[in-house]
Amino acid sequence: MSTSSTSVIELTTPSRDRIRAYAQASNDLNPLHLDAKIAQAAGFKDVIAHGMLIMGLAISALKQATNANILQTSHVQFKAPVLVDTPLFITYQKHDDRVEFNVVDDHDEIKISGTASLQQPANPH
Amino acid sequence: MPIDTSTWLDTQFPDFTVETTEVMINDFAEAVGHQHTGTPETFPIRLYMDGPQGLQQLQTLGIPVHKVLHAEQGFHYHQAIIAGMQLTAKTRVGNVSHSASGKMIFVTFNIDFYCHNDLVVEMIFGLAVRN
Repeated sequence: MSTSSTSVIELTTPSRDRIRAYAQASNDLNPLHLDAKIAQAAGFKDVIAHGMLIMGLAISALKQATNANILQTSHVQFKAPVLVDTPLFITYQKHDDRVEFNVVDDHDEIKISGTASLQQPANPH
Repeated sequence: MPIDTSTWLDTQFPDFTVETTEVMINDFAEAVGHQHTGTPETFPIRLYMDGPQGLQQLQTLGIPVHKVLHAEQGFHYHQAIIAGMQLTAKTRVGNVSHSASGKMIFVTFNIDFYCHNDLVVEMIFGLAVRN
Protein backbone atom coordinates (compact mmCIF):
# COMPACT_ATOMS: atom_id res chain seq x y z
CA MET A 1 0.00 0.00 0.00
CA SER A 2 1.40 3.38 -0.89
CA THR A 3 0.72 6.43 1.23
CA SER A 4 1.46 10.08 0.77
CA SER A 5 2.22 12.84 3.22
CA THR A 6 -0.49 15.19 4.39
CA SER A 7 -1.52 17.85 1.90
CA VAL A 8 -3.45 21.03 2.66
CA ILE A 9 -5.77 22.97 0.40
CA GLU A 10 -7.93 25.98 1.09
CA LEU A 11 -11.66 25.40 0.89
CA THR A 12 -14.25 27.83 -0.42
CA THR A 13 -15.40 29.98 2.50
CA PRO A 14 -19.09 29.41 3.32
CA SER A 15 -20.31 32.97 2.82
CA ARG A 16 -23.85 34.07 3.57
CA ASP A 17 -24.64 34.08 -0.14
CA ARG A 18 -23.28 30.57 -0.63
CA ILE A 19 -25.24 29.25 2.35
CA ARG A 20 -28.41 30.82 0.93
CA ALA A 21 -27.71 29.35 -2.49
CA TYR A 22 -27.11 25.92 -0.97
CA ALA A 23 -30.32 26.17 1.08
CA GLN A 24 -32.29 26.76 -2.12
CA ALA A 25 -30.43 24.13 -4.14
CA SER A 26 -30.74 21.46 -1.44
CA ASN A 27 -34.22 22.44 -0.24
CA ASP A 28 -32.82 22.53 3.30
CA LEU A 29 -34.37 25.73 4.61
CA ASN A 30 -33.65 25.21 8.31
CA PRO A 31 -33.60 28.77 9.78
CA LEU A 32 -30.40 28.03 11.70
CA HIS A 33 -28.71 28.46 8.32
CA LEU A 34 -30.66 31.51 7.19
CA ASP A 35 -31.82 33.63 10.13
CA ALA A 36 -29.17 35.10 12.45
CA LYS A 37 -31.69 35.81 15.21
CA ILE A 38 -32.86 32.21 15.31
CA ALA A 39 -29.26 30.98 15.19
CA GLN A 40 -28.37 33.29 18.08
CA ALA A 41 -31.37 32.07 20.07
CA ALA A 42 -29.99 28.56 19.59
CA GLY A 43 -26.63 29.61 21.04
CA PHE A 44 -24.63 30.41 17.90
CA LYS A 45 -22.97 33.77 17.18
CA ASP A 46 -24.47 33.85 13.71
CA VAL A 47 -25.96 31.50 11.13
CA ILE A 48 -24.14 28.21 10.62
CA ALA A 49 -23.37 26.50 7.32
CA HIS A 50 -25.13 23.28 6.43
CA GLY A 51 -22.89 20.32 7.22
CA MET A 52 -23.78 18.96 3.81
CA LEU A 53 -22.59 22.18 2.16
CA ILE A 54 -19.19 21.72 3.78
CA MET A 55 -19.13 18.04 2.80
CA GLY A 56 -20.04 18.97 -0.77
CA LEU A 57 -17.38 21.68 -0.97
CA ALA A 58 -14.82 19.29 0.50
CA ILE A 59 -15.55 16.56 -2.02
CA SER A 60 -15.45 19.02 -4.91
CA ALA A 61 -12.05 20.28 -3.72
CA LEU A 62 -10.70 16.76 -3.14
CA LYS A 63 -11.71 15.67 -6.62
CA GLN A 64 -9.96 18.69 -8.06
CA ALA A 65 -6.83 18.00 -6.00
CA THR A 66 -6.65 14.28 -6.76
CA ASN A 67 -7.88 14.42 -10.37
CA ALA A 68 -10.62 11.96 -9.46
CA ASN A 69 -13.78 11.92 -11.53
CA ILE A 70 -16.39 10.33 -9.32
CA LEU A 71 -15.97 9.11 -5.76
CA GLN A 72 -17.78 5.82 -5.37
CA THR A 73 -17.90 5.97 -1.59
CA SER A 74 -17.73 8.92 0.76
CA HIS A 75 -18.37 9.06 4.46
CA VAL A 76 -18.02 11.88 6.98
CA GLN A 77 -18.58 12.62 10.63
CA PHE A 78 -19.60 16.14 11.56
CA LYS A 79 -17.49 17.22 14.54
CA ALA A 80 -18.41 20.87 15.08
CA PRO A 81 -20.67 23.52 13.53
CA VAL A 82 -19.22 25.96 10.99
CA LEU A 83 -20.16 29.61 11.40
CA VAL A 84 -20.76 31.73 8.29
CA ASP A 85 -17.57 33.22 6.79
CA THR A 86 -15.26 30.84 8.65
CA PRO A 87 -12.02 30.23 6.71
CA LEU A 88 -11.69 26.49 6.08
CA PHE A 89 -8.95 24.15 4.92
CA ILE A 90 -8.79 20.48 4.01
CA THR A 91 -5.93 18.33 5.21
CA TYR A 92 -5.82 15.02 3.40
CA GLN A 93 -3.74 11.92 2.85
CA LYS A 94 -4.08 9.77 -0.24
CA HIS A 95 -3.72 6.00 0.23
CA ASP A 96 -3.85 4.14 -3.10
CA ASP A 97 -7.52 4.34 -4.09
CA ARG A 98 -8.88 6.22 -1.09
CA VAL A 99 -8.35 9.49 0.67
CA GLU A 100 -8.69 10.41 4.36
CA PHE A 101 -9.43 14.03 5.13
CA ASN A 102 -10.31 16.59 7.76
CA VAL A 103 -11.93 19.96 7.26
CA VAL A 104 -10.42 22.38 9.76
CA ASP A 105 -10.86 26.07 10.51
CA ASP A 106 -8.08 28.64 10.83
CA HIS A 107 -7.58 27.61 14.48
CA ASP A 108 -7.10 23.96 13.46
CA GLU A 109 -10.41 22.90 14.97
CA ILE A 110 -11.68 19.84 13.12
CA LYS A 111 -15.13 20.44 11.67
CA ILE A 112 -15.51 17.30 9.57
CA SER A 113 -13.55 14.06 9.36
CA GLY A 114 -14.04 11.75 6.44
CA THR A 115 -12.88 9.17 3.96
CA ALA A 116 -13.63 8.72 0.27
CA SER A 117 -12.79 6.10 -2.30
CA LEU A 118 -11.55 7.11 -5.71
CA GLN A 119 -13.05 4.25 -7.73
CA GLN A 120 -15.77 5.02 -10.18
CA PRO A 121 -19.25 3.52 -10.17
CA ALA A 122 -20.67 1.95 -13.29
CA ASN A 123 -22.21 4.14 -15.95
CA PRO A 124 -26.02 4.26 -15.86
CA HIS A 125 -27.83 1.96 -18.23
CA MET B 1 -37.90 11.78 30.56
CA PRO B 2 -35.40 9.69 28.54
CA ILE B 3 -36.35 8.92 24.97
CA ASP B 4 -37.52 5.34 24.43
CA THR B 5 -35.45 3.81 21.60
CA SER B 6 -36.52 0.20 22.06
CA THR B 7 -38.67 0.05 18.93
CA TRP B 8 -36.51 2.14 16.59
CA LEU B 9 -34.22 -0.45 14.98
CA ASP B 10 -35.40 -1.67 11.56
CA THR B 11 -38.33 0.76 11.51
CA GLN B 12 -39.28 1.22 7.86
CA PHE B 13 -40.78 4.36 6.39
CA PRO B 14 -43.00 4.79 3.33
CA ASP B 15 -41.17 4.78 -0.01
CA PHE B 16 -41.13 7.96 -2.03
CA THR B 17 -40.14 8.68 -5.63
CA VAL B 18 -38.42 11.78 -6.97
CA GLU B 19 -37.48 12.59 -10.56
CA THR B 20 -34.11 14.22 -11.10
CA THR B 21 -33.89 17.22 -13.39
CA GLU B 22 -31.02 19.09 -14.99
CA VAL B 23 -32.00 22.24 -13.11
CA MET B 24 -31.90 20.47 -9.73
CA ILE B 25 -28.53 18.93 -10.48
CA ASN B 26 -26.98 22.08 -11.94
CA ASP B 27 -28.16 24.32 -9.09
CA PHE B 28 -26.82 21.84 -6.56
CA ALA B 29 -23.52 21.49 -8.42
CA GLU B 30 -23.02 25.24 -8.49
CA ALA B 31 -23.80 25.57 -4.77
CA VAL B 32 -21.15 23.00 -3.76
CA GLY B 33 -18.50 24.22 -6.20
CA HIS B 34 -18.70 21.09 -8.34
CA GLN B 35 -16.39 21.61 -11.32
CA HIS B 36 -16.61 18.18 -12.94
CA THR B 37 -19.04 16.66 -15.36
CA GLY B 38 -21.73 14.52 -13.80
CA THR B 39 -23.78 14.86 -10.66
CA PRO B 40 -22.20 15.83 -7.33
CA GLU B 41 -21.80 12.86 -5.00
CA THR B 42 -23.78 14.53 -2.21
CA PHE B 43 -26.78 15.28 -4.47
CA PRO B 44 -29.01 12.51 -3.00
CA ILE B 45 -29.42 14.70 0.09
CA ARG B 46 -31.47 17.01 -2.15
CA LEU B 47 -33.69 14.08 -3.13
CA TYR B 48 -34.08 13.18 0.52
CA MET B 49 -35.07 16.76 1.39
CA ASP B 50 -37.67 16.67 -1.41
CA GLY B 51 -39.33 13.58 0.03
CA PRO B 52 -42.10 13.58 2.61
CA GLN B 53 -39.59 12.33 5.17
CA GLY B 54 -37.30 14.23 7.53
CA LEU B 55 -39.56 15.64 10.19
CA GLN B 56 -42.09 12.85 9.68
CA GLN B 57 -39.45 10.26 10.48
CA LEU B 58 -38.47 12.08 13.64
CA GLN B 59 -42.11 12.33 14.66
CA THR B 60 -42.63 8.63 13.98
CA LEU B 61 -39.76 7.81 16.33
CA GLY B 62 -40.80 10.42 18.92
CA ILE B 63 -37.61 12.48 18.52
CA PRO B 64 -37.97 16.21 19.31
CA VAL B 65 -36.45 18.06 16.35
CA HIS B 66 -34.68 20.60 18.57
CA LYS B 67 -32.64 17.78 20.17
CA VAL B 68 -31.18 16.59 16.88
CA LEU B 69 -27.74 17.18 15.36
CA HIS B 70 -26.52 15.91 12.00
CA ALA B 71 -23.64 13.67 13.04
CA GLU B 72 -22.76 11.42 10.13
CA GLN B 73 -23.32 11.15 6.38
CA GLY B 74 -22.28 8.66 3.77
CA PHE B 75 -22.88 7.64 0.16
CA HIS B 76 -22.03 4.48 -1.73
CA TYR B 77 -22.72 4.52 -5.45
CA HIS B 78 -23.60 1.58 -7.66
CA GLN B 79 -24.27 3.73 -10.69
CA ALA B 80 -24.13 7.42 -11.43
CA ILE B 81 -27.20 9.68 -11.11
CA ILE B 82 -28.25 11.52 -14.23
CA ALA B 83 -31.11 13.90 -15.07
CA GLY B 84 -34.42 12.24 -15.85
CA MET B 85 -34.06 9.33 -13.44
CA GLN B 86 -37.07 8.32 -11.38
CA LEU B 87 -35.46 7.42 -8.07
CA THR B 88 -37.42 5.60 -5.39
CA ALA B 89 -36.12 5.89 -1.85
CA LYS B 90 -36.50 3.06 0.64
CA THR B 91 -35.74 4.15 4.20
CA ARG B 92 -35.20 2.23 7.40
CA VAL B 93 -33.45 2.71 10.73
CA GLY B 94 -30.19 0.84 10.33
CA ASN B 95 -28.53 1.37 13.67
CA VAL B 96 -29.23 2.74 17.15
CA SER B 97 -26.63 3.20 19.85
CA HIS B 98 -26.07 5.23 23.00
CA SER B 99 -23.07 7.13 24.33
CA ALA B 100 -21.41 5.66 27.42
CA SER B 101 -23.02 8.34 29.57
CA GLY B 102 -26.44 7.72 28.03
CA LYS B 103 -26.76 11.43 27.29
CA MET B 104 -26.61 10.97 23.53
CA ILE B 105 -28.42 8.60 21.21
CA PHE B 106 -27.01 7.88 17.75
CA VAL B 107 -29.50 6.81 15.12
CA THR B 108 -28.65 5.97 11.53
CA PHE B 109 -31.17 6.05 8.70
CA ASN B 110 -30.32 3.91 5.67
CA ILE B 111 -31.84 5.32 2.50
CA ASP B 112 -31.43 3.22 -0.65
CA PHE B 113 -32.30 4.87 -3.95
CA TYR B 114 -33.50 2.59 -6.76
CA CYS B 115 -34.16 3.25 -10.43
CA HIS B 116 -36.40 0.59 -12.03
CA ASN B 117 -35.43 -1.84 -9.24
CA ASP B 118 -31.70 -1.28 -9.79
CA LEU B 119 -29.86 0.03 -6.74
CA VAL B 120 -28.28 3.37 -7.63
CA VAL B 121 -26.94 4.74 -4.37
CA GLU B 122 -26.98 3.82 -0.70
CA MET B 123 -27.09 6.81 1.61
CA ILE B 124 -26.67 6.84 5.36
CA PHE B 125 -27.91 9.77 7.39
CA GLY B 126 -26.78 9.73 10.99
CA LEU B 127 -28.24 11.86 13.75
CA ALA B 128 -27.12 12.48 17.30
CA VAL B 129 -30.03 13.04 19.66
CA ARG B 130 -29.58 14.69 23.05
CA ASN B 131 -31.32 12.36 25.46
